[in-house]
Amino acid sequence: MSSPLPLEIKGLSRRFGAVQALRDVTLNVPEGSIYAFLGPNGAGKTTAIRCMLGLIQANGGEVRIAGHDLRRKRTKALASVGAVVETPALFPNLTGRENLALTARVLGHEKAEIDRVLDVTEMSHAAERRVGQYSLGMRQRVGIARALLGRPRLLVLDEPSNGLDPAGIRDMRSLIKALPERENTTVFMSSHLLSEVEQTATHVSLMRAGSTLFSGSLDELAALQPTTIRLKADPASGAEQIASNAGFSTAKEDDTLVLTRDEDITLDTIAELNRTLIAADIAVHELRLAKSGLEEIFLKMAHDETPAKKGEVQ
Amino acid sequence: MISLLRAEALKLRRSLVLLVAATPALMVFALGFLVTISDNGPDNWQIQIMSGSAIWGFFLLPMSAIGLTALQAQLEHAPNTWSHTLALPRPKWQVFLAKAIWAQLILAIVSVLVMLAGISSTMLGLPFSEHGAMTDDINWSQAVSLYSRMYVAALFVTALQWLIATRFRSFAVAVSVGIGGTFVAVAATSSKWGLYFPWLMPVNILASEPESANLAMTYGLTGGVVIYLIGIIWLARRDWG
Repeated sequence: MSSPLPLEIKGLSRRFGAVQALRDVTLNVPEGSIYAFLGPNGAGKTTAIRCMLGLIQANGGEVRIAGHDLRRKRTKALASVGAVVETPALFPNLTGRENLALTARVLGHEKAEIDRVLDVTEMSHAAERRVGQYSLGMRQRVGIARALLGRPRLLVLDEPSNGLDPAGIRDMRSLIKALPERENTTVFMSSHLLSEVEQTATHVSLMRAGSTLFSGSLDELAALQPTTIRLKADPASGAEQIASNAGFSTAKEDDTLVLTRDEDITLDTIAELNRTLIAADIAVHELRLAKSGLEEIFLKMAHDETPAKKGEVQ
Repeated sequence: MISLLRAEALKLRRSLVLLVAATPALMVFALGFLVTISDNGPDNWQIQIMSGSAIWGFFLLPMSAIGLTALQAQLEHAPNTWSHTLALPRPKWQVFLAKAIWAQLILAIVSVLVMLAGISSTMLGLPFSEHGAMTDDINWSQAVSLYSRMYVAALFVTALQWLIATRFRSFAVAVSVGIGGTFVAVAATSSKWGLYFPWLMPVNILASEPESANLAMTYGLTGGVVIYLIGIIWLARRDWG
């Protein structure tokens, strides 16, 4: 029998008065993945995380952590989770080590475990300093160190790169990418930084207004998006005419023609188009296949009226 | 539960709670010394202990309950650590119970310190006083009984302040209720309803009628236990965040 997934959410919903903050959110987080929970501010990411950690009650749906139903077996479920919710909330009157010791005491871990997580997050050098004197980046690292105590099966990070400078974001990215292998954990992180997620995550769930637009791997997401051809040619009008005759829809982005069509676009398609253009004495400066980036995909889905039904991969 | 109590103890390290806990005893010590060396100082321990405990029960004890519970709650409110504390794999009610136990424990320690401060300041001031010595011996059992009964009677007001301070993120809510309660207590002293006013229960231990003193202790204890019970269950069930 296969072991249960680190996190399964089924039909989660939550309402605050007239506002439906979460609407039938469903997602399955595979073992060892870096699962990004993406959405603009106010999409419901933090609300979902708070429901997942039992900080707020869901109006409906089910959360299972490592196979344990959060509602029925809250302490067992949460024993498999380490979390940093929103800002890394630490006690400023205590040192980094003391902050970790607080949680270690409750979880029953030894001092060696504190040293280990300080080492993983490269915070050993500042462990004896009061947290009140830490930079935001250092606080994030101690927050993650605290969440890593006891090697949880699931690590939940809420906007881990929020407020960090570019160097801090890069360091955080490296740390997060190393965690699944080094700590044998699954990372579930929320973010609104699309480019950041693109470089870090293996799986993604796109949220908008409390609903999931898509849940699945980045590869599955990319497969849902049409491949386009980007063409720079002279004269552009001649190239556009030929592309149109070949069954492509055309759009202009500055001096580039973006070609799409319903049928699959392959390398052979490009070669054929290239031959036709050259035969028509059109100078081809650039001709390449292009896939949409996460940002484009997200913006397209977010503005599409009915994207979830088309693109959902649960 | 023990691990949660140990964790709560660690949170107090280098916090304002400990500083504020020492303040009442220092105030009582200074006041006791000045009164003793003044011409109007008491010449017997019984009056000294009664007057010292009156100041404690009427004013300093409710104010200490207000300040200490508010500062204890702010340890979590200010850095917004509730989301971490309450996401730990422990029943939420145990987290709040551990906090309530520490609130009561700190107030118990403050009570002992205030009692000792009152007596020691008088001892220190006596050589400089007009009387030079008291006419009687210290009745330790009277002092311990008085301060213990006041502590029990204050359970109601401490539980109320603790619940408000824990529930509301703003320091101002708990402090406003507390200061308001203490001021109303001044007016309620002569009222027959004063017996049921939580902020007056500690000082009602000094009432001349034994029934009133016993009622103050019964109401204080019962009210405190009920408020703590309801409060802990409610806090554990409500949404956080």
